[in-house]
Amino acid sequence: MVHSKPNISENKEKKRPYSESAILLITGAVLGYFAIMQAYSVDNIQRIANRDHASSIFQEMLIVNQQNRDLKAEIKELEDNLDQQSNRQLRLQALEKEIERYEFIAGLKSVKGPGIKLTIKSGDLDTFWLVDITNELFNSGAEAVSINGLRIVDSNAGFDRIPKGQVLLKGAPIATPYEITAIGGPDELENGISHDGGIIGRLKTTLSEDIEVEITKLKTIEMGKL
Amino acid sequence: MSTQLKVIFVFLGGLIGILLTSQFFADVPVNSKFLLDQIEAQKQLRKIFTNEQLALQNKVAILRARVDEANKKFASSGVIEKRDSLKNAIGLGTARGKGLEITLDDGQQIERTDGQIDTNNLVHAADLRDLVNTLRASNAQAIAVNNQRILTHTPIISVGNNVLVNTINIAPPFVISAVGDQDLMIQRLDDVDVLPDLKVRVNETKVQMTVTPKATLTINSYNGAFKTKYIGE
Repeated sequence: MVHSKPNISENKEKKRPYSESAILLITGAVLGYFAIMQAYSVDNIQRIANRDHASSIFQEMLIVNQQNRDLKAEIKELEDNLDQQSNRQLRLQALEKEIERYEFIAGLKSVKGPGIKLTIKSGDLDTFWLVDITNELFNSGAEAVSINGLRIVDSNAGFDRIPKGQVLLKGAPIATPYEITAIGGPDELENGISHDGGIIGRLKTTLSEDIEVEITKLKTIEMGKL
Repeated sequence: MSTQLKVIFVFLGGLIGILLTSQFFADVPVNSKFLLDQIEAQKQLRKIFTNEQLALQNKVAILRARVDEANKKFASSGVIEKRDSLKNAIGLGTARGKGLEITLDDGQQIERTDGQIDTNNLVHAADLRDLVNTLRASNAQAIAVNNQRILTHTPIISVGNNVLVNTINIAPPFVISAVGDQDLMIQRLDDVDVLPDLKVRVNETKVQMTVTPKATLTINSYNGAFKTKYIGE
């Protein structure tokens, strides 16, 4: 009886495909891990970067300078008000005017003025988009903003989302298409949201270029009282 | 091992190398490209404008108090009450009561002026906007960020790596004070669907967040301007 001697090199050859497969499997897993990590980190950075574009020092100075001009205008109005101090009738008129101004700001009186209408036809937007859009409008000089006919003031501010996906503004549903109106300088408002890197560009870049966005300058926008 | 397999192996090794390199040496968005002297000039310019703004805000506060005092001499108490109630409603009165103090800070040992900083380690204006929005939706009666009263028309924006609130440049740590129902506000903040981006970064210890209930909080009145150039009846 002839016993054939076990061929060691043959056994090694048989084992090698398994070890190679294991190496390839591990390599693939490591590769996948890094690919996902890379995509995740880029996505994470872009989500934040897309919401907060970097302004330049010059833009900052423009913003602060504008605010200083607004403060000087406010000071002039208050000084004019104080000039009426000696005359009772004028004093009461100034107080009436002051109260009326506060009622405008609080949304207790209907207001009207020039501005823009921004219409966004899309699926439901995340609340942060509405937060960012209103923020950009106020930053561009809006004096009053409403969404789908509901004026946003301190007593009702705060967007929320219910589990079904609908956006609420202090309990009032806000559904697509979103019609956002803002009273203020029409040119400033339009430039403020549609400039390069502005909120409209970021909305389209992040969600879809196909989102329908329309900006219309209007001579008169009316907003009802709350 | 066949030549084909070796080629695949080398190819995969190369891919891993590329990915590793891009992972560890990826350029994160750099928000500042200014030279050092320009940065210094920028700081000086900002200081001048901000100091002027703070001086103007103080003057506004003093004048508003003088107008209030002057009106008391002539108007009936009913009219004065109406005016005060309106002023409180629009943030021109001091707010006091129970509430929350939330502190948001950048990751540990993060220097905002570092040009190569990973922006995930920074608290962004967007984080503050989302947090303020959540507190508003939780019926907060008054909110301030680093003592700047937040009103509906208060923009919270980023300028490079800095944050402007009421056009005042504020720096971390950001302290958000909110007067209101503590339980309701905490409940909303704990909701898993609320502030998802921020919570991921907090859990990964990239940014720091603490929430502290306060028995008494005082939030000062708004000292900025109200624009009413275009609105009318």
